[in-house]
Amino acid sequence: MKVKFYWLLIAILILALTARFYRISTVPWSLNWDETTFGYSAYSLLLTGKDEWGTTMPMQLRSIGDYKNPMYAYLTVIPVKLFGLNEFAVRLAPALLGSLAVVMFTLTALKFLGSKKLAFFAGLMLAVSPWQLQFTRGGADVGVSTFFTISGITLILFNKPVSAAMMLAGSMYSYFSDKLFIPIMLPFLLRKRKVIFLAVLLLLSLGSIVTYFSAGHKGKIFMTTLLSYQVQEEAVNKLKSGDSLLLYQLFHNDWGQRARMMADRFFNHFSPSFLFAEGPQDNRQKIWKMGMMYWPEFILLAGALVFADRLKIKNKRLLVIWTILAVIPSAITKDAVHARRAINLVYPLMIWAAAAGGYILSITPGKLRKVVAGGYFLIWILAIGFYLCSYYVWTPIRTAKGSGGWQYGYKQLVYFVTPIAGKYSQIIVDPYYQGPFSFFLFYQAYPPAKYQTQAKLIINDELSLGESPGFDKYLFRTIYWPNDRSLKNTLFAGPPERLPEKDIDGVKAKILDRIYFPDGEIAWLVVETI
Amino acid sequence: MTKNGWWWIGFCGLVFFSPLIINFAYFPKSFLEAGNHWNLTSHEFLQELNTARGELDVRIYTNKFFWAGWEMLGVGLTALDSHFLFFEGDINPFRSTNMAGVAVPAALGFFIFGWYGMRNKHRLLILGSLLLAAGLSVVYRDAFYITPRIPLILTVYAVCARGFAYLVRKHPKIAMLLVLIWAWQEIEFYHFANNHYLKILGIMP
Repeated sequence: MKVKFYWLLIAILILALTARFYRISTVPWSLNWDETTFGYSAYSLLLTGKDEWGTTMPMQLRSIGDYKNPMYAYLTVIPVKLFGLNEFAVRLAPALLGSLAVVMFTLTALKFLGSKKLAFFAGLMLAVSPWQLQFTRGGADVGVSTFFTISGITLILFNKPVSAAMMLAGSMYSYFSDKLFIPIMLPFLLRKRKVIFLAVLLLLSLGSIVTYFSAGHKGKIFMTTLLSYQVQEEAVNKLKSGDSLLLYQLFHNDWGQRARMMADRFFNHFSPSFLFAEGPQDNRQKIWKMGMMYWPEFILLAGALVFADRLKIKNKRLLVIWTILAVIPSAITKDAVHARRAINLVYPLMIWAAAAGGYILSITPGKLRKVVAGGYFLIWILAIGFYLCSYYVWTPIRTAKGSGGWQYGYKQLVYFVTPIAGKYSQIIVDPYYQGPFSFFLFYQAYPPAKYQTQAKLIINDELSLGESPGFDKYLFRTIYWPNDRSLKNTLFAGPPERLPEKDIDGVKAKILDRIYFPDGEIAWLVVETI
Repeated sequence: MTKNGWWWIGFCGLVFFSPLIINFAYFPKSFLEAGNHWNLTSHEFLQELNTARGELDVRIYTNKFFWAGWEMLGVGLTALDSHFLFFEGDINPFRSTNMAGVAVPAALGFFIFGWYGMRNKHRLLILGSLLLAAGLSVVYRDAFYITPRIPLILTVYAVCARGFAYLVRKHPKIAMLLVLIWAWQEIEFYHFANNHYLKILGIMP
């Protein structure tokens, strides 16, 4: 029975949508401050046409001092208008575009593999890929950019230069990694009608290109990349004490270290522990007990490595280049390995895996073919089952806490504090878990026009993100209880480390509420002074 | 010289100048320490499993054997990480200086060319050996890095040597460049090992 290819595409789209939208508002369990700041910027754009800093139609969002790319915020304006300022609205655009990216990728795979069956297989793998799901479910700007990037590449392969340029320009406004990946990938992608493509791309990306040279962007690049890497002073002193200046400069100079770290980071992205066993260390990228791919896919990628020269892939050279260049934006940054920055790697890996799967089946004797395919399918389903358990239940419990995690507890805090806020002369919230202001702005849907006049950011050093000192009666600063306990008619919210329960006497200061992390540990204490 | 001759030169070079030798010379006992055996009744293992069960009990996954197998698979696969093999080596500071893996980073270049220059059958054989060696290293020990991984390390050296032999014959300029980088990194490594390593460990003042 022959099934038309577009039916296969529709099936993949339905699967991708289901995987991305199922319980999207509640898993991950909480918004992180990237999501709330994007959401609030969208809300601000919706109501005032300006971001929260009062910049009209910004080409970059100052946000928390990280100068975000604006596309995600603009795309979230309509969902916020339709559904209000909530989790679903914030996560809608990445989930929807991430699903469409799967369809576009299937078309790309068709171009490379020249087989509808294998393209379908590649699309199927991407539809349920933990790597792609991780960043298209939890609202992340990369979930938006990945759609534009893969669509642009697809359209170039289908020789639609104008549409491709529009898509890639979209990506240039979406995510930092793509601002590097696209320019380095283009020389290898372009074959025909280069002039018109480049003209459209340049014209449309101009607003984004200009931001490359802004101080904020430079700061962001410095903060994120290995450019700002320096050996710690203590280590420097130890090394210097054993060496003459010449030897020190020869063997321990920063640039030598950076080159070595870059190479290490580059290859880390192909390491089995990242891809299959442990994944990245960052809690917002992590799926507990898993890597970024299903381990049965290791068999296919290993097959691709072994049979690389026999795989039926059109334009294999381009696929190799894509595989290498996709890692560059991540390899130059400080993190040892980073799934989000290297998301463009998932696509070529899926094509390699599908091609290897096809080849392995083709060399399998006819009678065994169904057994091999069925066996693989079974262990793949088993691995997907494990992923679902981990993603929906085990991971959220372990990654909920703190600024490195999903910043669980803020929503509950805001919902508790907001109705009683009127009773107090000031409310002091400790920024222990980072970015409390963004959660208060978001969950209170604080009028952006009012906030724009109060927007301020305290940045401790050039390698840190900013914190708002406060707005209205809200102050966001470190609580020092021995001094702060004397403040009258004040509501405090902080972790037990800052508000020790044994020092709260219940007379002059009273605990009003405890907010817990999913593992039962106290996240917040809400304390009032009389 | 024949291909085999170049291979032997490459292999012996990698073995004689292996960063492991320095660590072995300094701290031989650390290589002979007994690591943890896999123990399906250990407190940590059972606690993790039972916690996961308490959160979501899916017996096909939350049984001792699947859980241990999953762990072993993870530990086994980490043996193939470039970070372990070429950049930092064992996490135990006595078994690695962390300035190199079981070979210096430039050897990774030889490894890639070794793999590239091989026939498919040989690749399959090498992959099988690597997986077998990686697998064997975890069947008995729990995340005990260097010692049980010696068969794997020798296989890696063999592939690197294959790359060296391939490059010398087919692309001598690239071979020369990689050998120079390798030699530089070896000097850098020995400098660190002789001048700083013991001080950083706090063994020498």
